[in-house]
Amino acid sequence: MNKLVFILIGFFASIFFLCCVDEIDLNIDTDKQFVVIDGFISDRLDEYRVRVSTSAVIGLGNDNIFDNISGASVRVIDENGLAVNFQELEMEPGNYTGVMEVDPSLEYEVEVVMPDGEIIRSVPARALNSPDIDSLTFEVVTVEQINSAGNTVESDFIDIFTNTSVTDSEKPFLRWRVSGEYEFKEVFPGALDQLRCYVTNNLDLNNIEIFSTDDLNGNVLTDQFVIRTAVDDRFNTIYCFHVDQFGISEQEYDYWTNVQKLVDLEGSLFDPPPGELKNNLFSETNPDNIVLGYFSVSTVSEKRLFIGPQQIGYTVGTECRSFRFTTPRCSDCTTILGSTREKPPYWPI
Amino acid sequence: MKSYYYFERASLLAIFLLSSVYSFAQETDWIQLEFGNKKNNTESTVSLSGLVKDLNFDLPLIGATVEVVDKAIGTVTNENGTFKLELPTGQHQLAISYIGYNNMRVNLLIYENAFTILNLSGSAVELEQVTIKEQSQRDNIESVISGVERLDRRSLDTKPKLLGEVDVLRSIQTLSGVTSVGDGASGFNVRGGNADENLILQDGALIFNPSHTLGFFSLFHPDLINTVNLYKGDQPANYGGRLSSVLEVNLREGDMQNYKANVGLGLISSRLTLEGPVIKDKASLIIGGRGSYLDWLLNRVDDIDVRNSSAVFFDFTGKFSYRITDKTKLTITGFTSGDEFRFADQVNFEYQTNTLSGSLNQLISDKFNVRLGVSTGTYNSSLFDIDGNDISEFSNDIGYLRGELKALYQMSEKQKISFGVEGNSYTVNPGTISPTTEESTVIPDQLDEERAFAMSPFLQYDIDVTEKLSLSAGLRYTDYAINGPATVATYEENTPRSVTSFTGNITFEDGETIKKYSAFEPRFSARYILTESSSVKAGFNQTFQYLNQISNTASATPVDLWKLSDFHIQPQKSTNYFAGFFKNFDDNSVSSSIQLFYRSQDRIIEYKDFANLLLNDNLERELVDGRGRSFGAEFNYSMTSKRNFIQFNYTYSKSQRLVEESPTQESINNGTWFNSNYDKPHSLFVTYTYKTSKYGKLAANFTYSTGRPTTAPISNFRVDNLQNIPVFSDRNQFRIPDFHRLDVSYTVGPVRNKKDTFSTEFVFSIYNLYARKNAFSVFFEQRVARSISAVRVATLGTIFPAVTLNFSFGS
Repeated sequence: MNKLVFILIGFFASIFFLCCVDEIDLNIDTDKQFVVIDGFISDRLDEYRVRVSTSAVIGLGNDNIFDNISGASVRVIDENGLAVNFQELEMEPGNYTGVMEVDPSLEYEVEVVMPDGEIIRSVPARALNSPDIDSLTFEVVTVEQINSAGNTVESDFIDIFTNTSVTDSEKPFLRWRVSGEYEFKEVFPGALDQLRCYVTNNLDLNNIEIFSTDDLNGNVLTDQFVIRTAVDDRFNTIYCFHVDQFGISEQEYDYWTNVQKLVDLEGSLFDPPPGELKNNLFSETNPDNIVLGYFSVSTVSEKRLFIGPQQIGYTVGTECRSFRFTTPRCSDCTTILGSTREKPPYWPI
Repeated sequence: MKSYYYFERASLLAIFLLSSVYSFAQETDWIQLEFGNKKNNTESTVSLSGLVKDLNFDLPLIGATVEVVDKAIGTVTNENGTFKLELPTGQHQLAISYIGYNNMRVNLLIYENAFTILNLSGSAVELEQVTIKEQSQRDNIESVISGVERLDRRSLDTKPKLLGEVDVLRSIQTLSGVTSVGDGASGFNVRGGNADENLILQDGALIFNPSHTLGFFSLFHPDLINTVNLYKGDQPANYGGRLSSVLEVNLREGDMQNYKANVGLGLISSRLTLEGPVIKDKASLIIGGRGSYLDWLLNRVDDIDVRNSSAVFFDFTGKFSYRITDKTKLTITGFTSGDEFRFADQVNFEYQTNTLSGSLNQLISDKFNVRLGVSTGTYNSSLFDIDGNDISEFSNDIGYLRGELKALYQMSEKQKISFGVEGNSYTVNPGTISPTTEESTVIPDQLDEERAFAMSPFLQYDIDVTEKLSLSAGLRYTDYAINGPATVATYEENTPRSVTSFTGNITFEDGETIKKYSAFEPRFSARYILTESSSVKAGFNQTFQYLNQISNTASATPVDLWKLSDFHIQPQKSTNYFAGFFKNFDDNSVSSSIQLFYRSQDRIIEYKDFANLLLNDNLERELVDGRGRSFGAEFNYSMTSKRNFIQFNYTYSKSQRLVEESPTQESINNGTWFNSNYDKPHSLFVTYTYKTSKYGKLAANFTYSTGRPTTAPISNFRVDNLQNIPVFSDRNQFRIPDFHRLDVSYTVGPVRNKKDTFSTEFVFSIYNLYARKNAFSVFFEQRVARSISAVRVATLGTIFPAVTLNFSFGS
């Protein structure tokens, strides 16, 4: 009898908490798609990219289908009316590139003329100063993870940190973009000097690192985390982290802060309701149309950090150590995406 | 039908076994009163007004029940102990009752308007349940104040005893114009206002969070409640500081002659009340405690998340009453409560309320009464981060000291005036964070404490201009100052408050005034009696709020922080208009009303999108000034017969906000009106109570309301290196599913033993009979390889039965 009572009581107790967390349909009209403009320019002479696309329709079967928009006319115009035309890449529709550098004393805007004639612009903005990066540091950390078999395993990662000094008069907002490049040695039987490739590596997918130096206590930003990546055979010869530090506006800082909140949305009882992302783009021809994305104008300061097995303390095992069981990349590293045999001029000997 | 019969018989049998032989033993004082004579009578209806007093101590009894037994109508005495009834001429029988006093029966012969003083003598007899009708059937016609709802122990008794007890918060949410965000929400919303816009007082002490366990229980011990007044329209001038309403809970005094005990044993919680004389006929004490014990049940559940969860509360209330002289009375009330709620490693919070209040009533003469009230209290809450590297406690608290001196002068039978002054001192800690383990990476931090003082003189004048027209006018003036020490940020003029527009800090020394605000708050209402059974009422008032709950979650939570109006945040203002038509039928056994309201609000606190509210030194950067408007029509119908009680409340209302663009702020929803979080256009509540026998009572509740507004994702995009960024709709553009629920309860008892020293009551209730999954919260979750989706959390989203046994000891 007692057992029965406990079972009943336990049942009531558990439904008090458990019974009802489920997915519901809010009957939202899911046909809406918006134009997305995405790009940045800086004071470094470089090739820049502007991507023109549409947002995806929400709903089962439609998830993550983004349409790139071809045939748009993209220009970046300074306040004197000088324009740099961006050309669409043949192999990547919707992606438009142009070579330029920003003069920090001038305001710039992007102008996108859509195939249907709609004109979209960004609010003219001047590049804000980015202080120099004093130094980059790293740390190897061991993190517990659950592998695909469901077991807890330990893996090593490298965390990269920046150290930057700011002045009292300037409290900039900063954003970091990190790319990686590593040297890869081919395995070729009998070769005295193995052939090498230099492979570029996109590191910060779905990650954004920004900082408001207004939150800084003092004038030195110390050990600001910028990226984490796994320790693997990319580090077996030498790995180069390129850290670009951009000086951005408060509005852009707020934009990326809120974008990160939306990406990280996990859902909880105490979630504040999310809201509208305020950006710097607008439709000149149809002011009621919502335009998504951000066009950033900034200055950049950069720094590199080389890390090899000596710094990490060990070499990671790889399939290229055996002559018998190798993959194509082991004997021809040009098959690796983003690779070149041309040694970058800044590469250590 | 047959099974129902057996169920009732079985229940009765169980109770009778506990209570031996049952019978009523009621001490009653009988008197005869005659006014006028039949020969000279020309009126068909006359009014009887009077004063109910303590026989020995000459003190007015507030909240005493005066019922006309033969007409099944009644009223309760007001704050002066007076009452007024409209009666057909002829012979009637009155029943006057008050907790702790002998019932009085009056054989009344009345042919002219009359005034009488009724003196009740001390007693220990529990009120006889003469009828299950609502108290104020006639009051709705007579009362000058529009939009006041009075509940006492008897009218609360008509409500279903869900989860084993009658609950004040659940009961007031059945009233028209009162809603909550949903099952499990803290607080309540009156006529489209935020939960923090309600002034909640328990024996004069401020209550900042009236809920236990996510709102399933209220803070108020049901066995200690004497009367509950909810002023949702007009507010008497002695109340202020909140925009929407006043909820006044008055606790009863302990028995002055005999010792008594009440016990309620339930599945989730139990309660105990003890009372008795400290000095017979002069001083009494009543203490009550409640506690829940869900944890030891949760620990027996297989699911690890449930086993690691907790939902416990306790409260303890004590009230000491002392009749110092026959004209002076002292009461002291102490209250403490605590709550802890944890669900696995996802949510964990605690909150505590402590109050101490005292009042000294001095009767200068039959017409002049002075009351001095002093109260102090604290409310503190903690939100725990219990997962990851940031294990920490975020806490905030508010403390206050309140004093009120109020005088009541009954100038004549038709005029009365009350005046006085109220002072409030507040201390707010808006946030402290501290690590709770050595491994935590959280750095301790604390925001500056805030201090403010408000002084409010007030004056209220009520007059019966003619027999049909009555007016009530009040004026309140508040002088508010927020004081140092503090560091206040300043910004460039005509620019939004932000890091970029920040110009510097101003430092204020201890006690130095940072900012002063002052305002007059007029109140006016009028009532005109159209016919014997109908009246119209109208009025307006203006209210200001200086103490704000900062929350941008859809529902107020127990851990929302409190913030005083300060250098940047101006007091919120509301101008309220209301009118109503009241009509009774069938000798007041049926009452109905239509009430209209319109509220216009200025300087309403709204939140920027993605506002960061926790531990923010510069909270003003996250807030924007808004305007608000609410309007609606409330329809009420209730019918009482000997066995049946039906109540039907329907409200149509809108509650909206507007945040326009200005040089100092960005707009929300492009500067157009949008629905507030509490906008629920249709709200319906139906209660049916049926007395199955002398001891059995079946009650059912049905409640329906439109789903509240929500902001939902409408698209999804990628930018830079980020994928799946949801695009959200305009604020509150969509709605969550509608809310509806049916509850039933069956009560058997109370059954007393022969000597009337012991009584028992059995309550069986089923909450959410058809297992509707009403959403307490809807949030949005990013799913792997999918776009964002809406997730509903429904607390008690299934059928929930409960059994409670109530015992009462003492004669």
